[in-house]
Amino acid sequence: MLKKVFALAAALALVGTLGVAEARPRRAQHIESISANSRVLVMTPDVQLSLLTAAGLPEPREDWSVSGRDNLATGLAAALEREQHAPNALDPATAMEGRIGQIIRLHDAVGGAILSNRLLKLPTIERDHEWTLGDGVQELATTYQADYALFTVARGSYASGARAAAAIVGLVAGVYIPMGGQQVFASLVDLRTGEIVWFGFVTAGGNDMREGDGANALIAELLRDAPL
Amino acid sequence: MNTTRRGLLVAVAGGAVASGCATIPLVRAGAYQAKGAAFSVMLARPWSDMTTTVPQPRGVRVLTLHGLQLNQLYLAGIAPGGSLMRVADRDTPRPTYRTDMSEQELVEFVIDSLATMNFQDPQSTGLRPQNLAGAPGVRFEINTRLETGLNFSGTALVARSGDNLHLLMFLAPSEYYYGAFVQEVDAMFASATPA
Amino acid sequence: MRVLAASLLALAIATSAAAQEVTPAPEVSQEAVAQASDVAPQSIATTPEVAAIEPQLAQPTVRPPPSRARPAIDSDEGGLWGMSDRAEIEARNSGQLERDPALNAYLYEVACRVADDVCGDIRLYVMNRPYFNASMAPNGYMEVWSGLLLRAEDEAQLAFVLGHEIEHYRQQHSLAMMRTVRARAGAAAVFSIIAAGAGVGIVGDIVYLGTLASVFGFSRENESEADQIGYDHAVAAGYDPHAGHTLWSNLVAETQVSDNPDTRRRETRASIFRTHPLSADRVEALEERAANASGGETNRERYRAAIRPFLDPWLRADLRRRDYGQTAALLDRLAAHGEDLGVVEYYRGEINRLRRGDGDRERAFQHYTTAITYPDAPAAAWRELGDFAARDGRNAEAVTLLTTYLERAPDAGDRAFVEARIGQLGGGQ
Repeated sequence: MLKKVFALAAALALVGTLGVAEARPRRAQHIESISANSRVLVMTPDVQLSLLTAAGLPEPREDWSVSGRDNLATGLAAALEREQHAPNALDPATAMEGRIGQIIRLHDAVGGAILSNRLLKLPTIERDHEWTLGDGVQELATTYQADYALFTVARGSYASGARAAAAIVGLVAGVYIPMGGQQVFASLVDLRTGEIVWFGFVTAGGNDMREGDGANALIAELLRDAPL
Repeated sequence: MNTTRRGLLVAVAGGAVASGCATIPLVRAGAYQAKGAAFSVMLARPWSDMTTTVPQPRGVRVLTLHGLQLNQLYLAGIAPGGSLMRVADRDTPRPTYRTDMSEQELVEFVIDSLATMNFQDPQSTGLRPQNLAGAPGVRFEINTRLETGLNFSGTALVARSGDNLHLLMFLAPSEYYYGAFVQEVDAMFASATPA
Repeated sequence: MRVLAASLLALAIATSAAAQEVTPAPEVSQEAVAQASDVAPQSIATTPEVAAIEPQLAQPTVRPPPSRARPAIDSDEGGLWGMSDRAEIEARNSGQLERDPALNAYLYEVACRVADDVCGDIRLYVMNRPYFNASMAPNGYMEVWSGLLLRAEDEAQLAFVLGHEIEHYRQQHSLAMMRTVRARAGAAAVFSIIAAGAGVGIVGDIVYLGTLASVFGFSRENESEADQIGYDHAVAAGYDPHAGHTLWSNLVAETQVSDNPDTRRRETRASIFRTHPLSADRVEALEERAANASGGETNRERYRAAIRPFLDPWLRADLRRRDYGQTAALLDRLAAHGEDLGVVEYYRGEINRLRRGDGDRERAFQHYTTAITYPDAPAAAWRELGDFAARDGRNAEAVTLLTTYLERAPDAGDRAFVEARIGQLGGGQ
């Protein structure tokens, strides 16, 4: 709901900030790649993009959200194919009933826990902690004939021209005016064990997911340490 | 977003600013006595103490293993007039503990508190007598769900000790997380001894 | 770690700016705990296809065509629609959704009757939330909360509220609101803080209830307009012209007997229906309109029949707010026609049992005793009376009452406990 998306967005922004402050979080180097020809369920990316106006009012831009979503979905499928895997799309909004719906919701909760833990570390989470959804994920595996599921979320805003001008004025005046930014994160779930074998995020930098090329570059950066 | 979360986050931020670095205390495995509770339990593994991060009413401690989204362990000693959740101001009505509550009313106090915490349609099942640290109490299971529709299961043990209410409660998503820890929690409940 | 601290602070500021959410939820810190999964990745809210969302509940699949085409995807209105679509998907998957087919079908029928030309636009969802609220998003997704259904006395009052919401929709007040906010520097400053904290858009997030009003409330003018034209539509659909002002007056009266001094002070504005600021002049305006009008249906009995199966759970949820003054006022209205007295008397007893003021114990006993003379009394009334009997040492009577309780509630969660109690009291031998 309102709260949750907002909290997520805020958390994402935070993660972005932390990423800058502490250099990019890196996955441990020892992750083994998933076996070739894996069947990967690519969940329709959840993308919300907006325009940051001069006054700082972010306006939802459905056209950007839709192109960002479609570009990410296409690009992720292509990237998987390049790695010799077999992607298959699923819109989670069509699968929220029954146990599969519970698994998808649990994935949201675990993702929230992973993010929270990056903001405020729990002493009970070891560095190599294996986040899991439990073996209930096998329901997803058998229903959709898949070995892995890939979830992607993107949030962000783009500054308008007037906003950019205001930011320059602001700089002169010594006031920092945020220019917007976009974050993407993703998780890869092993549908036999339920383990989240990889969790990655990236701040968009110069790559614009509203364009096919930008989305592909962003995906390449996002997946650079993915065990594909 | 309600003011609640604001309170939580202001507290988190305030704590982080004050200390320069926010840390969550670790509770070690072994005998553990929650502050304010006159009993101790044996913890089979270490837990993270969220009580300072997410402020609780007097006598209530909340621990977690992997984050409050995935498991919550309540240990509480609640004085008469006290409550299981924190409210922003004294005028906001909320369930409070009273010494003259019947066993069913103790369960109702817990369930109504969960509803006030925005757990959806919480239900108690399987009420049965069980001791808590030697005092006769009530053990029961909880079925509820979050606003997102994620089903949650729980188990709780409440008992009176003098004028106070003692409480142990574990809550987790029904999918995987509850089942993965309930046996350990059960043993922990049984291990409670007067401190 | 200064960055972390600063970020958390920004987050807190952003959060507080967004804190004017519609629901006057109890200010409880653990709510955040319960909703901690709120920070989860929102795969649930995956961007829907641009194609219209099909109604999923028991609403007719054969329905009039929508009156409005989907706005251009690159327009501000298109953005609002997209956000409404996401909010709708969340509503559909929510743990608060009431799926009962008969109730959904009935409410859709009433909404359609008052919606007239925009009937085909409506997709209605009933949410189990013990507060008075309804809303209609720019894409046609409508929410009606259980706290409203419990408080409307008849179908005409429901039709008035739905007509009011539909008028906000018809007049595109949300869009106007968004444009006003965008144009107004003062309001934009609020968003600046939010944007600074979050670095991302939140306008979409505001649309949980479908409208920007959930944060700012519609303007007084928008509310009066919705009242007046909502009135026209309800009356044109053949409903009682007095429904609107009666409902609003009832709500004002209810907040005035709240246990929470804050609620009483702020009257209705910040109490049970925060998004629709209700002033005395609005009530008067509706009263004047209706003064010389007569006729029209209330369909009171039909309405009560539709909500009757939910009285028990909805009253339980209302009671959990622990605002006994408001719940008592609500029960008085529910009892006005001598119906459902088993449930009403039981909940009157519950108020007294929970409140424990002077004389409450005796009053609770009286109410439970009265409740069980009606066929619709909840089984728990017998358990409470059994408790009274046991405490007063009337063991044999207690055994009979508790046994009756178990017979009437064979799946009671406290069965083992009650059986043990019966054993202790000397029953079961």
